[in-house]
Amino acid sequence: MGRSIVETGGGAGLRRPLLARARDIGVVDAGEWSLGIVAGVVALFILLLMAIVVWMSTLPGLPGDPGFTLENYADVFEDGVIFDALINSFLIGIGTVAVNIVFAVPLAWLVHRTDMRGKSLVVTLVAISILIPGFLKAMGWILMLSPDIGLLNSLYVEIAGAAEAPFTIYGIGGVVFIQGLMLTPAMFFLISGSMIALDPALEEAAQMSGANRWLTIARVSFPLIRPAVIAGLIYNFMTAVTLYEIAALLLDEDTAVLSTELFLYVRSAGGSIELGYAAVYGVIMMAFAIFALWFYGRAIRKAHRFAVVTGKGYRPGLVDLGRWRWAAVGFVAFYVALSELLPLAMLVWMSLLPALTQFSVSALGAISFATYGGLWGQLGGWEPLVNTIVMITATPALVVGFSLVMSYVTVRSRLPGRQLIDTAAMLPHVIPGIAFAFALIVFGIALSRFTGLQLSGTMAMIVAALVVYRIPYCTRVTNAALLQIHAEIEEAARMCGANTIQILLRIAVPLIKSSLAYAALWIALLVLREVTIPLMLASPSNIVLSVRIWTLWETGQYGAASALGVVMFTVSGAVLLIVQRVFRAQGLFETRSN
Amino acid sequence: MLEVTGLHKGFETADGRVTAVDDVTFTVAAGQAFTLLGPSGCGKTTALRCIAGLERPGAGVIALDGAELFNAGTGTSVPPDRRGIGMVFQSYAIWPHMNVFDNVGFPLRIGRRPRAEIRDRVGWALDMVQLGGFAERDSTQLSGGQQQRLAVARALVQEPRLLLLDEPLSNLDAKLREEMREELKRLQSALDLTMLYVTHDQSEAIVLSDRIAVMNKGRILQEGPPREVYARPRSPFVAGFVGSSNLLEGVVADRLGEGRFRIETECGPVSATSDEALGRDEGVLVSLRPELIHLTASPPAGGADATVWEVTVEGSTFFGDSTYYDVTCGGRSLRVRAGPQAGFDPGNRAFAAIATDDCVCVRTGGDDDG
Ligand SMILES: Nc1ncnc2c1ncn2[C@@H]1O[C@H](COP(=O)(O)OP(=O)(O)O)[C@@H](O)[C@H]1O
Ligand SMILES: [Mg+2]
Repeated sequence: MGRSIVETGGGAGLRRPLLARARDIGVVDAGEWSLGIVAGVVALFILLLMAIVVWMSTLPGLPGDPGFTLENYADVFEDGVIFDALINSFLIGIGTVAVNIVFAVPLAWLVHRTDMRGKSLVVTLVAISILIPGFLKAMGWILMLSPDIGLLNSLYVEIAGAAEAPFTIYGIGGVVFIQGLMLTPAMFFLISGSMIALDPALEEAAQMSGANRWLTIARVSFPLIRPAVIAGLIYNFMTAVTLYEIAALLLDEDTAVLSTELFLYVRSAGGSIELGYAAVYGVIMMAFAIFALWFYGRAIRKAHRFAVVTGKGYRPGLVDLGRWRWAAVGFVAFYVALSELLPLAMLVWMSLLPALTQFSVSALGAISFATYGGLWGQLGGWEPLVNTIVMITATPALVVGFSLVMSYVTVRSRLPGRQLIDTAAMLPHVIPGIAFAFALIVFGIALSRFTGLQLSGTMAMIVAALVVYRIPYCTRVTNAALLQIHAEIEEAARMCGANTIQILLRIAVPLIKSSLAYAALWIALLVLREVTIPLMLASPSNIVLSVRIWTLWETGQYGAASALGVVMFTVSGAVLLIVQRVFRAQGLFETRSN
Repeated sequence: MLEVTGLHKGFETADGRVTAVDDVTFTVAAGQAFTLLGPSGCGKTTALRCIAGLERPGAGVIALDGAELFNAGTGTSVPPDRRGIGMVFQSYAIWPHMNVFDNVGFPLRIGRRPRAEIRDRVGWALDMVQLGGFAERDSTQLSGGQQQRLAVARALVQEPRLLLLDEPLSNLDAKLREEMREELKRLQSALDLTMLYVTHDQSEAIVLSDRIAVMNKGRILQEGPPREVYARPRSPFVAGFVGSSNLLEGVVADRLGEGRFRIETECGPVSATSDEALGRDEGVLVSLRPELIHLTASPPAGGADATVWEVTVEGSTFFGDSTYYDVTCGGRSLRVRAGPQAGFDPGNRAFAAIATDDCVCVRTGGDDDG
């Protein structure tokens, strides 16, 4: 959040030592310093985790062993799999964003720029799509389109009398399809902001200059939202390239991608654990991510520059859909069916029958809730439930707390180095979650070897990784909320004798508490459906709901996995709808899935 | 008593250094109302914020009642929350999540005062600003004027040694502004407040203050009681900013006596006063206040104490309580303010008389002109 202005005293220049400048600031009190220290520690931890990955990639053995080597790099590149992985990941990234564009741009345009009816329902449906984690979507589609068991395939074989299944969800195409559906909401919400902020007067001016509706869209509207679309593309591309869960479900061993290779080196079932090789993959992903962050930052800045807030309460210039109204409804229904309805229906169907059975009247007779009856045993009793509750309460609490402090320091304080904290808070935005999980594994091993402290395999590890991973999401919310508070509102409290901590707790927090509560709710829901990080850090004692679903599926217990998935979605959907009702006045959700 | 000495504040911005406050020195005596008057961007707010402690000056000394709040030389800097200064912000900065009572009670709560005392003092402060009975009102339901009163009550409740006000009336409509102006004046004298007021509105400054300091580009150009600053501007900028003025270029033709000169201008020779020791042939600007030029149809009695010019009326604008005439004199146009009654029509010839005491001239080319 750039304040372009740096304050200095009298004739003092900018090049004076940091401490001298800090002393000069004067209005900084002890409370402000302590906030700065908390923010600094979190920022350093983020940077430390990234450094750990690089460090690990140069170690010959385990963390803590002496030595420095480039062997890991040499081995990985000699092996050659990395080249396949790079090409496959790249193809997946391109394909995913192509699917994103096809769905997200028309959806956002329909919701924000046309007179389509039921817009808030569409927004809610897109938001609900986020609650169905990618792995559940993939599982639903496997039940439909697997060449062996897919119900649609066998239906086709039956009807057409074909010799073999015509479709398959496995392979790179399937990954692209599922990830495309899964990341569409992120794109939708990102370009929504710029479509809402687009000043209709600019379009009207083009029309008054003689441009027709299509020319206006091509020459004025689209160029204005293009930076936001590009930012969304870059962001989703980075996510798609490094996503683990879909590739793990849909690709066979011969189709390597970056994330599955990294995972295998860390948690291979049979082979040896090669942390050094995994680290090389981690470094490659992080390098891409930082490279992309630079482009992303440029696109985002441009998008913000184009955004004009008119302050008008109404939206003139909505496109009259006329006869195309039904086509619009059909398009929305198509996305909702592919992304939510069909996979969810498949999971429900699967969970109600003892085995996967073709749709038929006789199958209806076999429907029972037996799977749900045995679910408590399949879940594994209290421990996974308690773990899950710990995860979805501790993570949002810590994320909101840290983000609040980090934002306050960047937005409000005059502490030296606050810009650095902002940057550090942004980094996990592009660094893949799997890289953070890996860094924490290495951190855990190093910690136990250096200090004897055993954190590997505990809930603390999972929570730490998730906190770091979610901080950028929350700091954007808290940055924006704090920037909305007029500086004089806080200065008035200072003139009334309040110190920085009192101002934060009595003025700032109460004023933005609905934003904070909202961010906490979303983080809880996003964390609940997270599987890659808890799976990578899993041990027998820190199993959570999503990991349990995953292992049930892996061991072929499709019915139980489906039933648990349905329960998870139902609970989070219900929570979201109830809270959304409470927060109706807040307007659109700003959110992002990954 | 507030003493500000050699105050200096610069900002480093994207396009270079901006000096917002430049070597500002003034004193506000205890119980006095002092105003910093100047155009937007001249550094008034910055000066106020330095005194409040919200900005750190680059140089200078700020002392309140003899104790140093800030001294660039020794590095002393009392944090803003310990200065015991009340401040009314331009935006009022009312806390929307607290009701009226809690807004006013906040400084006392922070100061951990007993509950009963808080109740009494908040009641007193609200009564002072005529908001008694509004205590339980939601602060977001107040009108602009009421928010303003609330902001004043909040600043007064801690019985500050100094009250700072940053353009407190600029968000109010004209009628309310006049009302609040009177009320602030009443409060200030009733409570014997030491008050530093900042505004760009000269009428507020003149009505409210015991002394005013006219600022431009970060510097104080002239300081004194309102009447003196109005009657004896020492620079063209002050002449133009405090009240309005016809400024004529001229050269000193003759010295007429103690502080009196004959000046040759485009409109002809004029007798003027000056506090400066002007030499013959020196370039000056003559300030003629529109309301101090007397327009008559027949030649008035001139004499040593006045100048009379023959002018042509070009047009007039009726303002209700007055009429402004545009007249020309020797090819130069002048503004004259007369009473509301109809007087002259365009094309009429008339005589303009200016008393020598009302006609002030200042040296041109000073470093302080606006
Ligand atoms: N925080 C700041 N950073 C940079 N420049 C500033 C800042 N605050 C004020 N200025 C500049 O200092 C000058 C004086 O501003 P200000 O004190 O607000 O004037 P006033 O209150 O008289 O309108 C202006 O040129 C303004 O742009
Ligand atoms: Mg100002």
